[in-house]
Amino acid sequence: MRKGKVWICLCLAFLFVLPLGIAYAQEKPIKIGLQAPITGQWAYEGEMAKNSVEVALQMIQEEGGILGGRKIEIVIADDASNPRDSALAAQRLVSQRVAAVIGTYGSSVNEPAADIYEANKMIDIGYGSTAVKLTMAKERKYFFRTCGRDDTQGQFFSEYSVEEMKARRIAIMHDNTTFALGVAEEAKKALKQYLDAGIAELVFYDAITPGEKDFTPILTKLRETNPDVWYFTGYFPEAGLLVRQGRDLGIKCPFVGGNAAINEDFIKIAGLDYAKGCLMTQEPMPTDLDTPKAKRFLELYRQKHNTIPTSPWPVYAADALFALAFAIDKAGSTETDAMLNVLRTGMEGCDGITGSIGFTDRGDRRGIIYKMYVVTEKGEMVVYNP
Amino acid sequence: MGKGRGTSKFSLLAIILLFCLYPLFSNFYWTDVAFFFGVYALLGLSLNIVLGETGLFDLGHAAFYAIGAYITAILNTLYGIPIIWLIPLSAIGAGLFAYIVTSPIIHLRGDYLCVVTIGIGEIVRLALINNPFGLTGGPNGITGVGRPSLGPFLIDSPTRFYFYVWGILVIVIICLIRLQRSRIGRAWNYLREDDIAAETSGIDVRHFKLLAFVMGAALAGVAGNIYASKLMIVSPDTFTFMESSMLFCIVMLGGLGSIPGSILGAGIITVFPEIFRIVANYRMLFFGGALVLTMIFRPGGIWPRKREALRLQVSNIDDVKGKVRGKLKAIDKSQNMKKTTSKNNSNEPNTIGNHILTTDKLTMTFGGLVAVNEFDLAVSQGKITSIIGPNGAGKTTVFNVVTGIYKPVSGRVYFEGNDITGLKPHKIAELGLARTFQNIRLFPNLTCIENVMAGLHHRMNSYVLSSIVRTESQRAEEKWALEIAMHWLEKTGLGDVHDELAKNLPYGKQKLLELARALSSSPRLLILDEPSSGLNDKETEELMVFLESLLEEQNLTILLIEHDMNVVMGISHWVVVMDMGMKIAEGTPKEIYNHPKVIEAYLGREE
Repeated sequence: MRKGKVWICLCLAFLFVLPLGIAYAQEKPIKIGLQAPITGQWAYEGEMAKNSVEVALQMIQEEGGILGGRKIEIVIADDASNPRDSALAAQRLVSQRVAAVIGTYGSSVNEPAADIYEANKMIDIGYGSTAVKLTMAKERKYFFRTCGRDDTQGQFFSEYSVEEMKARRIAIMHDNTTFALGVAEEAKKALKQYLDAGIAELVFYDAITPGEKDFTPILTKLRETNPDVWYFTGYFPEAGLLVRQGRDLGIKCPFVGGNAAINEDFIKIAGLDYAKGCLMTQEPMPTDLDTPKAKRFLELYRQKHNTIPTSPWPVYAADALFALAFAIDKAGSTETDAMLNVLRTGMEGCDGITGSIGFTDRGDRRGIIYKMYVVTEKGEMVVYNP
Repeated sequence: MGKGRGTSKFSLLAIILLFCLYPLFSNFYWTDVAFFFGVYALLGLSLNIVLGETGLFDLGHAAFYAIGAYITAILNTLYGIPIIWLIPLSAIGAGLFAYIVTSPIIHLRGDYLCVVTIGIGEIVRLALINNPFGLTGGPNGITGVGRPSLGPFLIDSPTRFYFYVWGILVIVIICLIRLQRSRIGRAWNYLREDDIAAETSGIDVRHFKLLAFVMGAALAGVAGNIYASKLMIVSPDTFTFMESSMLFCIVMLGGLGSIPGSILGAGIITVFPEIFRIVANYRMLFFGGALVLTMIFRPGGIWPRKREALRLQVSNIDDVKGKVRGKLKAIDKSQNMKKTTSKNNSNEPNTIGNHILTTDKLTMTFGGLVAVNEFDLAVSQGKITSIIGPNGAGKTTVFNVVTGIYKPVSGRVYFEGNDITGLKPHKIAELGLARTFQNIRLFPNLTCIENVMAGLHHRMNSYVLSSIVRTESQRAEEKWALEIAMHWLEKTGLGDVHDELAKNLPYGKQKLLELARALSSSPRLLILDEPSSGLNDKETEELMVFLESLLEEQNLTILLIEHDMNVVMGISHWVVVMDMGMKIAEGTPKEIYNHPKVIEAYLGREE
């Protein structure tokens, strides 16, 4: 009688303990936070970022996962496209003890969140926040970004114009706004190696005044320098007028605009006759990416959502997950310091959708892919393939 | 009473204790939620001054919030001025901005004002985006705003910020409660309830509307300062139209003019979306649904303001009654002195034929319609003068011109020999001219005593600071006003309903209340627009007796419009007959009764 009772008790105890043991053996999933504008004015960006990260997660698991197949769980925090909710979302992810965070879109929204992650020693990889000051205004140890910086396209322009377009006499024009000046300065910096090597010459570097209507004086000056390529880093209203007036003055060299200069309004202002053939430095649209991962990514995305991302940014969110997965796998743990070490120094061999991923010591993306786009005769913008 | 106070004190203590212990039991995330709750409570209270207390539709309140935040951010990042110092600066800056932008539009009513404030909100936001003078940093805003520190004590963690904002909030709440229960708060409420009645009772409408905007903006500026120092970044994304409408929701949800309501509303607006975070995409949908449901089931707000019995607030006054009364008498006397001296100065050369009010060829037109045509009126001092005439004769228009609601096209109005043509109604009221309206204009959601105190407003002097500090003279003044108001309530037979809301009174009593309000300002000319309409025979009788007794007791002159011929013939000393905007006859009641023109034009029609 007594023995029977003890047996029953033991059996029951075993039944309770067993699932605990199994659960323990399976290990908890790695939680990675995604802070994105799920609601608010940029909700479409948040939605696409979420979808992209999910597709990236699927791709990681297809390839065998990380840390020997440990599960990854994405924890989403909505920042509603505004700084206040961003601070709350960040605080929430911190309190949920996620391993690291991907996010977010919008520099001013990212800023307060980055401060909170920094204070809590949590890694945060921005995917759609391109403001220069995010990494340059103050030292942030835990902030990275997979997207470029506003001025990275300047660097791309210099390399492309000298190496691909074989331009020798280069003219750069900006409008003294923070953004345009930043791009121009970056272009100038990247040009230095070619200037030193004597294979290129910076023949023109000057600013226009935004809001003006007649640019003939400065364009006359530009014409006299006889440039091979003419890069304007400012905004579309001036860009449209500049192209028109410049061509009328007889400046025939290719016109390259920054990504704020060329858009549909630019074509309207300049007129299609003047706009066609104008070039633009720009982050590639997902469809224009040609890495192996991009192909698979787009395939899966289309399968799941019957469409593809319509802006360049969501793929950077996916790349942030690839970077984090790579760092965790290589570090062998989800300890922040270990991950940080990999992100800072050991990213060789990490491939993302937008190419190989690496970070500068300030946390900016290294070797970001840009593309040269061209305005076609129909007024569309396609990748430039001369 | 003592017991009730005890329990309310106990629950207040419990709430304070709960707030102090809260951060210990929550994580940083929920502490931050509580911090933003505090910021939005500040914002809600600031909009409550404008929208709740004064009834001005302001859908651009985020603009003032933005100004405060940007002043803090710019001055802190450029000149390194400590955040704490910038609190008053942000408040002043936002207040000044409000003064400049709202003074040209303050006369607009309701929906028009609403549209203009939306415009102001958008203009400010777009201006910030366009980076004027390179100050605002364009769409990305200003980063690197510092943290506030109280002496050596740096406020940097969520917990410290929590105590910081709630500490400020407690001070603000105390100030606002005191303000709400003072002359200033009442003046705002009068404006909200009925600005024409407020103006003719002697309240400077423009001044107090502007004051509400400036104070609301200043408080929003303080909230902006706290916000900027918490997030360390300000950017235009925060100060959208959506933000303004959120603030609007806070006040509407909580209950117009209710301080606890606004705080509660802020709690709902900040905490609900956080609770619904689990449903991600749908959280705003849930949130919207919650708003809709609350408004359906509690249309007056969740915690509407209960008008408190005013007597209780001037506490402990019984002990010092004698002392205060002496002082009051002194105030009263000095005011009376002022009056009599001014009267003497002006009276001697001007009271030709002893006329207190005269009009000279008064003409008023509305578009093409001539409502009053070269109307001459002379009201004898200490007598009852009646204006009679068929409907549409222009009687009420005469009243509206005399009391300053309309500006006459031509002609002059003289009161006690002074030209008052075109003066603002509140100025005319201050001169000693009070009126009632044809269709009662009370302040329906205020108590009877508060209604009557409106007439005393222009004889009181306390202002914002003295009301917050509750200086001795302010308290004495309040007590004085209460006593006079009570006196008139009792005199009109409303003594027992002094704490009842005016809208709950039956029609006859509402008429009497309006009369009490007019009388409380101790006018020398009382203008009554159809005082007996809607009253039964007995009430009319009583009214006539009352008016006649006033004439004797109060050194008063009465001018009235009346349709009831018994009243007109019974109490008038002089009758003026109007038709088609013109005076067709005047004389003693007897003369008028037999006047052929009158019988033809007016009385004759009855037969």
